[in-house]
Amino acid sequence: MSNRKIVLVTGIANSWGRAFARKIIIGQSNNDQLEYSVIGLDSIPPEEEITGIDFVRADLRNPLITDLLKTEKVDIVCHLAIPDFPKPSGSSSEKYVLGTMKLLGACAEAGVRKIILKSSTMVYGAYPNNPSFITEENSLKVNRSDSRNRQLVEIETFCKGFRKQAPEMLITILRFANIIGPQAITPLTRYLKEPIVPMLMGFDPRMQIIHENDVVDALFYVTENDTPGIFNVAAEGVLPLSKLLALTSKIPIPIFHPIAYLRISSIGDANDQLSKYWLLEPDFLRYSWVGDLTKMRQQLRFKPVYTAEEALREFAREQRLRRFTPEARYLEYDEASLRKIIERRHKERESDASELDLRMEEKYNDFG
Amino acid sequence: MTSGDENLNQEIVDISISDEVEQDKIQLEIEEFIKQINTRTIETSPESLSKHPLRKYIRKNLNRFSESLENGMLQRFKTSVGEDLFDKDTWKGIFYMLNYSLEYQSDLLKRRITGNYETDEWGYDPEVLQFVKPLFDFLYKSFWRVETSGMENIPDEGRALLICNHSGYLPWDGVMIATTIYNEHPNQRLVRTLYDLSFPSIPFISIVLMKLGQVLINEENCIRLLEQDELVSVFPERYCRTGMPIRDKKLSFKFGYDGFVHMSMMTGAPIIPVSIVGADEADVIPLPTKWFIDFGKAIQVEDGCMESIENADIVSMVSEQLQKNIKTMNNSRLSLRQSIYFG
Repeated sequence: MSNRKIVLVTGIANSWGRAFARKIIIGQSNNDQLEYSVIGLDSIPPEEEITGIDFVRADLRNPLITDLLKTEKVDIVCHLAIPDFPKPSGSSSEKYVLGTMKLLGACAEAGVRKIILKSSTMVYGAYPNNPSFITEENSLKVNRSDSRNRQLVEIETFCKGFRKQAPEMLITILRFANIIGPQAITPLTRYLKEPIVPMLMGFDPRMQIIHENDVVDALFYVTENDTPGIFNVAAEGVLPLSKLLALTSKIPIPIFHPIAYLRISSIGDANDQLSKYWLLEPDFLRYSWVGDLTKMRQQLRFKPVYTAEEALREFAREQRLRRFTPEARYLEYDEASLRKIIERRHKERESDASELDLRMEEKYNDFG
Repeated sequence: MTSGDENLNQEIVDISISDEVEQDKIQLEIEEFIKQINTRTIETSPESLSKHPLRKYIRKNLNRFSESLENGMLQRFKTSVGEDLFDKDTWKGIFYMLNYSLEYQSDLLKRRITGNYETDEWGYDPEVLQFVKPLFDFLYKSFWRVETSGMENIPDEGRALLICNHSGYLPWDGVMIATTIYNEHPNQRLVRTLYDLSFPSIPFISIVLMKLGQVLINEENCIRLLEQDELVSVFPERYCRTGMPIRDKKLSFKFGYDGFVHMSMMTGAPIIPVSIVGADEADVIPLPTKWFIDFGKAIQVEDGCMESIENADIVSMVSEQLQKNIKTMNNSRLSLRQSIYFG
């Protein structure tokens, strides 16, 4: 009990939080000497129950989180409550950026040992003068004032300042490349789910990819090993966008780039519209934003299982199967979770039935 | 018979001018002519178009020419048409060749569409290079007739930095250096030319540069390339001389960028000076001038010593030495050049 580490996972209701919590629970059953117990935190309850975790329903901006961290003696905070589709509009921006600030402040006050943050290589921005392999020391840039990478950039710049304020704390930021996988819902997977995809005419940026399982593995790896710092995490291999589309058998529609930009400026604030047409912003389809992986290999010593091409081929296989058998989406639930759902449903029905029975009995009694 | 033909031709031409009475006359003449032809052709039977009669026929007609001309023509006929065209296997071979090339092309297309091709981490695609190569070869061999010297100064393997004089905006000089080394060097090395910041935002050009293995100019990129033991070429003049009159260009050869000395020091890569003559005149309009590319002796900058990297004097000294080297190479070519177009 003494060496049991307590991990607080924020954003447990989203897919990353869920997958990560599951990974911790599965991971600790393998070796007994190191044990983790997981506290899940989110403002909304998770859709399906995760066994073995304590769920706390709270907003990140809640000042009581400090007390929670103190009383529970949380060792590690894994901050996953950053959406894959951030909207640059005011309220949500405040929610996530401010939430992160508050959380980090609370961690410093409560003396949390380690903080893990999931970020993206999008923070480097897509610029023509980007180096071919961007190292972690490069400056972070926002592409447009209403760009989707703005929140992440704001969060990361805050972390940079925070690192100086709390030097004793281990802060690990993992900047993941485009996440892909049969279950992941990220800008790239949504972009590739359409049969016909837009591409900028005359541009073919190099792309980096990481499999969703490797994302969870990397987060777990960082939980187990103390490696403070910022790391780019991506699978081996850099692919041009055209090859990426060819491997997933998509039909690219080349669009003259001024038209693509016009489209965005005419839409203006209607960001939902924008995200509908441009799942990846035009800038990110125009210039390369490939992270340098030497730090991941040498300092983090993490090795993704999937190579870029393997991850893509697996994704493409799944997509093709889904096209012919729409029921295949039920395959994404593994057997255990399906059984759990059936059990839960069964219990609910039983309890409903018993309630009904009770009411009926009462009625009968009344009548009697 | 031939004279009759000529008459007929003349008559036909005249029809358009003459009036109706003359037309009738001509008609009568034509009818007579046809009769004549009929009577003559009954006697002669057309010769069969096989090999020997064809030869005989040609020999008969060849009598009209002089003897030497006749012999030459016969010889040519023999060698070109000869036995091969009448051989079944020739046609079979041609069919197989066509079939094979068609199969290869369709396979290539299939692989391109399904994405089964390899690119390296910089985006270099060897198949695209092979596709574009004929154009570069044409420019290299026929259009600019590039003449090179000092190929032995390029190492067979390992890193090296090529420093070249640049003629202007269009990167044809870089292309020609790469083609020279690809064609003439025993190891067929690929040159990674560092291109300017303005290119990546231009559609299509950015793709072509990337697929041909060229890389954006950037200190990080350059060091990474050199550490991977690549051959990197840099144009440190950038656009200093773009838009200048040609006479001024020759005088004002000056580096606008010393960063390459740092890179060479940090990676221990030797610097090879390269001089191009002829590209200046083909800058604005691609004129078919005669080009000379000379590779000078490599300069090994002391590597690893951080003091010398920070020492601006050493950096500028190396830079000036290189400028001098390239300029002397340039001048020695210019002094020997008799014509811009013919060398």
